Amino acid sequence: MIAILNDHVAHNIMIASLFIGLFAWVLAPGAALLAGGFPIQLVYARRLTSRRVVSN
Amino acid sequence: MPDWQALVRSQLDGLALKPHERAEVIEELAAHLDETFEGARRQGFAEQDAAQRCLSEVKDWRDLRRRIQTARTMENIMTNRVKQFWLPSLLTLLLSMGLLALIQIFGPNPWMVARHSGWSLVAPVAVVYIPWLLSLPLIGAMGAYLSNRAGGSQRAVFSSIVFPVLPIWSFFWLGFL
Repeated sequence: MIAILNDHVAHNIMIASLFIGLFAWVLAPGAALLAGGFPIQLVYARRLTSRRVVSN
Repeated sequence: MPDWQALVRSQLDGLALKPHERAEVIEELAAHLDETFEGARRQGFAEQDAAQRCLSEVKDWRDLRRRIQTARTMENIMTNRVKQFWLPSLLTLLLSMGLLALIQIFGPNPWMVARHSGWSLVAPVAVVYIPWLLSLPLIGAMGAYLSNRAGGSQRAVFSSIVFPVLPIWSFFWLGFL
């Protein structure tokens, strides 16, 4: 029985699977986090620049 | 009118703080004594009585010095690195992982990415929680806001934003090795 099942179960973890997992769990969440954080950082950076211009 | 700044400076002589912090404390305390003095003068007290009234507000200068010292030291415990990096990072990590756990329990079924090979059984290679991904920009924005508000550098801000994926990234890194 085990021998029969063994033929149909993929045992090898392929490199492609790792890349898909990497995309789903690291790259996509990282991009989503940056999508929210980057605009805030831009706003703060602009505010800081304008303050420096005013103080000069 | 007495020179309150000079008086406070001499009384808090042994205060072990950074020069700017010490100056700040002296200025605040002198301003308070000055206000009290002016208040007493307005109430009709003679200058000497008003000054005496102010001085009687501080019963024990040594005790006051010790209390100021303790309060300031406690403030300094939360260093800049904690405020600019660790606090926002751990908060984004906690929120994102907490939300993921809630979505896994109560949320809709995830989108499964699986490899198909005839009728062979292949475990899903990726499970994508779309509602979680959609909530992450808000969490990233919060991390960036907190780090920026604390005066974090660009590096600290970006590290705080992407901090929740770093543990997962390290697991994958181990997998590649």
